[in-house]
Amino acid sequence: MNSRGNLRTPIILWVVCSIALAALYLFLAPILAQAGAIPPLASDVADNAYYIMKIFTLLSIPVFVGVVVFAAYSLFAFRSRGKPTDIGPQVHGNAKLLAWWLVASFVLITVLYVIGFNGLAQLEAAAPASALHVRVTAQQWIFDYTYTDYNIQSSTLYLIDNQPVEFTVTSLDVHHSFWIPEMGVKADAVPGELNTFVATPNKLGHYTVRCMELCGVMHSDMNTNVIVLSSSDFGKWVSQQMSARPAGIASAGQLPEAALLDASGKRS
Amino acid sequence: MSWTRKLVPSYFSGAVLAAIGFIVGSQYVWRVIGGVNWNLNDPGASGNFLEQGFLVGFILMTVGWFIGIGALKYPFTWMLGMKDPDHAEELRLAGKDDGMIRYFRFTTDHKVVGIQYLVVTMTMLAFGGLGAMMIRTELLFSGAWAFPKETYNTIVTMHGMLMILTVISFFVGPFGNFVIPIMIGARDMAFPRLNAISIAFLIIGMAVYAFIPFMGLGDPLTTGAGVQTGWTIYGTLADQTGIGMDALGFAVFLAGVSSQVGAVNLITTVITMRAPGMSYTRMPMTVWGAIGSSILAALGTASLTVDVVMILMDRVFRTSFFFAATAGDFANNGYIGGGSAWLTQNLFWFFGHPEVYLLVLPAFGFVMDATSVFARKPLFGYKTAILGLFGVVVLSFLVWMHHEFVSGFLPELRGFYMASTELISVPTGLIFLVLLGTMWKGRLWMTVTMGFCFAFIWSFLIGGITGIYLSDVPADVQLHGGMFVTAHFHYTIVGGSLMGFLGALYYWFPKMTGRMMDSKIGWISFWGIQIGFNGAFLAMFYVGLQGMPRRVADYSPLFAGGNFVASISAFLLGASVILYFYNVIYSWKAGPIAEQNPWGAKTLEWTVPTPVPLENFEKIPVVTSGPYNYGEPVAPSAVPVPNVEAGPALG
Repeated sequence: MNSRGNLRTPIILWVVCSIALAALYLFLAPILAQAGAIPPLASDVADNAYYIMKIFTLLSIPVFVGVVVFAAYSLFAFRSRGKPTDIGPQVHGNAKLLAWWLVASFVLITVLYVIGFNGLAQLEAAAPASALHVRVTAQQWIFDYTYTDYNIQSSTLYLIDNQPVEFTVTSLDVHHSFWIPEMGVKADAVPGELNTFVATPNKLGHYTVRCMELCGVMHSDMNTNVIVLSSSDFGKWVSQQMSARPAGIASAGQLPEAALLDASGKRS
Repeated sequence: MSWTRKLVPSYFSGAVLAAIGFIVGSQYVWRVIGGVNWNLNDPGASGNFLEQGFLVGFILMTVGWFIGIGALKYPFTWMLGMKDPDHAEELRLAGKDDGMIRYFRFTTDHKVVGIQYLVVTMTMLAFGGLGAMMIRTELLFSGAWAFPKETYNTIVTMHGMLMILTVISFFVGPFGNFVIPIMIGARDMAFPRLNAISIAFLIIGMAVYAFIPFMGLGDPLTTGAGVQTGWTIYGTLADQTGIGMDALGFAVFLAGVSSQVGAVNLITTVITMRAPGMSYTRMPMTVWGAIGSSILAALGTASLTVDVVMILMDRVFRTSFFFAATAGDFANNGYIGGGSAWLTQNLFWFFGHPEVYLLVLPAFGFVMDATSVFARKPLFGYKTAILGLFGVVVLSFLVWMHHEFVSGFLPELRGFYMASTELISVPTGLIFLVLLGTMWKGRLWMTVTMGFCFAFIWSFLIGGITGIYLSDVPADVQLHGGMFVTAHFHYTIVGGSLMGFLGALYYWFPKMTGRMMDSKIGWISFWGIQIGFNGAFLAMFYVGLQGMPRRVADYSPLFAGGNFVASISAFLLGASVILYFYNVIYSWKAGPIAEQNPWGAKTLEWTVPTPVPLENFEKIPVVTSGPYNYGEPVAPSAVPVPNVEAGPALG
């Protein structure tokens, strides 16, 4: 191993490997997504989140490859056999390199910040007037859903395709967290506080809610079903619920005991 | 010396008095005040002074411990205006001529305290690792097949908290105490008795911690048996959870005191006790890393202590720090409301974020020093490195709300915290610049320590980059609370701090024990650790992306493949760490005798003989150059030494 080394080799390696890794990523990502590496995306929020993550991955590739290439190159080019008998060049630093490094770092994080800020603005957009309003009440160990527009309670979450929904999430006891993986909807259920989240589902289908904050023994079992229906099917469900409702049902916000309704609205 | 003189005071008499203290305290509360029946397995007994009994028991256990080890003698004599100990008595306290027993008592010699810390933290690491193996066993298959869920949640909590407490102490404890005073040319730490009491606090804290698995695991499910909260102990669940929480809270309190006391001691030592000529810019980077870590410990730990005290008050005195006025079973338990659930998140994370930088800063410092030694080159940017370390120290207090992006707390601040969290990658990146620049064109000596330095670079790079994803609010909304987060912080803490620790132990083993660790076993354990660690946590990133939550005993079959790979890899990691531990123990007893400066390093600890004399230096050196100046002419001797002249003997 010559212990002089040169800058050209690692720089070329850096560029080539970055391009290769980026190309590999762009090629593999949709295949892996199909195979279940990420949940099937079903809302505007999810699309946005994964779009951002994709850009972050492409931007991190040169950073990752750069450090690995230079470290690995040093390991191979400058390795001494056993205890060294001489010393390396007594270089204490390089002001120009430091300046460029800092500039590049600040540029990179500014780019990341702008991307993130845009995404954040989308997240924080207020719900339009036409939004469906769902109150999510978490308690050990179930999520319960109240449609405040219709005064209907349900243990399965029904949503409307292409219609914004505003979730208002709270808890009756300890911290929980309401997450629909496929929709990128997450809001902590904090007792005594209301946490809102707006999203628009954009694909029909069956999805899952998972609890994302350790809340006790049955934390891993706090899963509920989400069904995204077309507007007309949802309307059918609503009228079914309102006609099936026994007289004197508790108003929205209180849970009837053992309120486990199956998909057609009947008590199970 | 007679046996009574040897054993009283000592850790043995401390343990006896601690046990007596626990029995007296708990029995008094349970029998005399509470009048409850003695059968703790009786569900009727729970809540009826059960917690109070344990807490009073723990308090008297701690008092008994400190009396029994003789730690309280000098504070009392000082308060009573009696004579301060003279030099002979101080030497006796430092364990002069005491032989092995000085490791089992309140001893002020920083080298003894360093070894005590090494043994205690390695024991903690072993138990924490056992917890990890139990977690990965449960997660080997879906279906919570190995442990009931409440047991699993308790194991997760205990593993997390124990590992955090271990990593807080395992660098600054052994190496901060043993090596740093010698490194800066001092004879001891600034506060030797405080030093001895810091390890004593950790030991008694761990004794209280050891109660947790025996407290409440048989309780009815609805009260949350064991400790269900995870190491983040959010006040809402912590108030409700099983009786083990009282032991956890008290243990964390004691360990927090240990950490803060040690931090104050280290900072004061470095400020006031450097040898002549050892200016701040001539200190090895290890010292700077330890100082940065100590600043964070000194300033941040109080927030956790307050959180823990509030939880204990909620539990025992039915205050309502964490409950607003709500319906539900908490109202029925006598909570009057008026508190805030967000308060626990803020109190915890105000400590919790600086905490994680506390964990990794000593490793930053050490890896920079080791890279310089094993490349035979000065640090590529001493001041750059300091900028990096202190940029992290300052910014670490300004980012904590990134743990609360989805909590609903002050969402309008999320943009600021996204910016500050992304900003903290800039000083961290400077560390990478220094490391890469230092090894460039050096003469790389691939010792096991240098291997761990490369592992550090690889692992912290991945940990840092994945942290950037989590700093982005839209991405974090999707990833928060899932296994992606778990993989991220294991890459930074295990990949950063643990790799640094294992490298540092191999490096300083010759100075601390006089023997060399075995290189072949070292490399085998190193590769087992790398393959096991990366396999486990890369698989964990994958299941996190797939949508698996963290801290779950059971999971959907969707995640089965990734979890299986992660568990098998984790078992390899565990076995390799055990092999490394075997190397430590075997080499300590039977390794080859080490020369004075086996690595050819230029820092002051390598100029003293092994075993290191009680007062370190015959004469305090006068330092004339920095720790990395390999190019300066060395004194003609068999062993390369930094440029020091023997100065006048001090004190």
